[in-house]
Amino acid sequence: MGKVKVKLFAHLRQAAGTNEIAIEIGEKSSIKDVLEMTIKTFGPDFEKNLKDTSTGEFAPFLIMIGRKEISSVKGDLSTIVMDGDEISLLDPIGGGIK
Amino acid sequence: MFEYGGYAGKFLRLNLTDKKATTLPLTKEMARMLIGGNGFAVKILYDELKAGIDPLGPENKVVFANGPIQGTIIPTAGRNVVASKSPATGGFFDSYGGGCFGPELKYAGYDGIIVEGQAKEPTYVTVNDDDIEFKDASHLWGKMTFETQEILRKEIGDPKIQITCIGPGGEKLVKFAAVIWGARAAGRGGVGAVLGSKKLKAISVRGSQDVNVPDIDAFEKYLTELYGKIISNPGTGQALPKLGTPGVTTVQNQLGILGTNNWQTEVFDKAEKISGDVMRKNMVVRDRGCFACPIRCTKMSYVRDGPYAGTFDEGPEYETIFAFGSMCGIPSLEAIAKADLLSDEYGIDTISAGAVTAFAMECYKEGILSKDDVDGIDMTFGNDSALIEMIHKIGKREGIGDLMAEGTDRAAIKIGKGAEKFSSAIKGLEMAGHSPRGMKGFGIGVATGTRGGSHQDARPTGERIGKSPTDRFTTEGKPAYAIGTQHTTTMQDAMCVCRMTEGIYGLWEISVEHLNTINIVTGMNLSLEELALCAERIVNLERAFNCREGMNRESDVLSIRFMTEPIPEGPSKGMYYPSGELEKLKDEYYEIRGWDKKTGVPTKQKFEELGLNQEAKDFYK
Ligand code: SF4
Repeated sequence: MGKVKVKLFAHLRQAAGTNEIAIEIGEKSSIKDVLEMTIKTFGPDFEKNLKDTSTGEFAPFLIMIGRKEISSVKGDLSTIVMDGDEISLLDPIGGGIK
Repeated sequence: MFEYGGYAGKFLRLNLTDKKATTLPLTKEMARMLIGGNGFAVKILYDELKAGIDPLGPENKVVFANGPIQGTIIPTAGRNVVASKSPATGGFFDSYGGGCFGPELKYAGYDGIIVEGQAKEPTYVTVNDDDIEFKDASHLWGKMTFETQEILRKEIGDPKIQITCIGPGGEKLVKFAAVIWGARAAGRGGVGAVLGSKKLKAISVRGSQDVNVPDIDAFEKYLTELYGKIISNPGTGQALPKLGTPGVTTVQNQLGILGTNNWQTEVFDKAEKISGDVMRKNMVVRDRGCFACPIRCTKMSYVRDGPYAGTFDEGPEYETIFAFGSMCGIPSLEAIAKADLLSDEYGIDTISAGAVTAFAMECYKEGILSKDDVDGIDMTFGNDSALIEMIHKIGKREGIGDLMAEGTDRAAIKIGKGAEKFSSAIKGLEMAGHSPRGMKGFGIGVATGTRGGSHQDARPTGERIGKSPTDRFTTEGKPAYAIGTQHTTTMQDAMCVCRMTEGIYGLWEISVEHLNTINIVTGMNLSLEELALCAERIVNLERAFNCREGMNRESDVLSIRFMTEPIPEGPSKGMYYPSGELEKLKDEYYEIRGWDKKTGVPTKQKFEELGLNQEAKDFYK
């Protein structure tokens, strides 16, 4: 048992109404579990900011565990998180229209 | 009527020397081979310009062009290109803006406008379907872009006309002057200076014609599907509508790839102060969209208090927040909004304006520019009033602004004393807000791209959102990946759809989505292979244009800092692009492209494969 800190970026902050949240984890919680628990905490309106509403699949975005980067669509979401880990959920958008 | 749907079937040619308007027909072959936008522009400029001409002389031309979808309600179909031989890079340059100018031009019956020659006196041109008039613009010369549009709208007496114009920046030939319509800018590459050199202040357009598609039922069905995809996608359905592009600021910073203090580092310790969510909370008063866009990523900002109180700005976008914010070490969204508004008013590019200011700040810090050299301004990083003063000086080409209006590479040559190592320009264009050293695929793509320091040839998105085949630290396979991103951006630019739909159309491959949109609008019934060849053909034609101007393998490099200085801190610490690594990747890149490894010119075989036999003769006897 333990806790991880989930830091939110960009529009995820607006969707959640906060910049970060502490999530309780079990002994073998994976990064996928943390994502699902974060979604459960903030509800369906938050979910559509991470998952495509027509397919129910995660949109591509980067998740950082400390400084290690994992892709939501290509990385190993079964990676186990540890007590005290700081997890950053980045954002699926592009940028720059000129 | 033109054989294919979507197209008007002709270009308007405006000769400013003799004040004559003529038309050039669009051929069926041109539509099938080059689609539109950058494809049309590069073909016309390649055929009509001689190599070596002065970009600011009468022989240069400017092409405004649409793709087939402009004027339809395909999402984000409000864009159009402004292209020319660039006074910044000396090569082909295509710059895009959103809004409504492109669709109106199509309604007036044109796939584009070719501007040529040089007027003796300031001129503006009104286009009302086939009725074209050249008019005296002496009363507009010297006026800011918003005032120019306001005066013209009253003068012409039609509130619905679309006006494209230049500001004092274009008139004074600032090498990064923009072309403005509404508050949208075809910002990069100095296309506004080319219009300024021709003394063309503005073009107004009003049209009354239809745009046809071959099967309206199929079109409507497809449109519903496309809108559905945009709305359900978290990027286009949530992130962009909520925060717009500024959302990306803190993401870049968290990854340690946010160019800061003239790229001395890529972590900005005050990034939270210029984040998209702070902007939304403190400044955004309204969302706005371009023509036919359900995403509405544009944020209208109003500054309520402080020294910039009363500033009402369309934006700022992420690139502007990077350029005026982290690049200059300025943690004030209010100052950034003010600088953005002023840049639009003067008609200068915000990315290059921020980059030259940051360059001047570093030269000042290093003692290369003295306080006297910078007209007594305290050019310390973080000083927002210095930024505002600099924008005024650049827009008017006054004092230090006259030097900085040349762009960082040319200013560095004039300054000497080793200033060139502080220039972020690549092929003469200051690098936009994405790190070529922090994303390996993006880096090789920027080095080999047509436009130089742009984020619009190669794209950072795939590596930044974890969708690219390998992560951003890996060089393996990156030349092929970079080529893929260059082809998708090229296709989007030929269609003139907004880059924000790249997640829908595909990040590094020509997709069925590109194909469906084009075929449903035009009825050309192209195959995916044919469409992929179109993208490759356009890239190679752009390359041929640049090679004819003397660019070669040696031109495909990054700026000195990106190749010699590792990122000093943060999650991307240690990353850079040593020249040996870059050269190795270039070999692989040229091999895949079919470009000569020694010269960087497309091989004869590649030209012929793409049906560019005529162009091949310019390089191979
Ligand atoms: S996504 Fe934004 S920039 Fe692109 S067309 Fe829509 S409103 Fe304009």
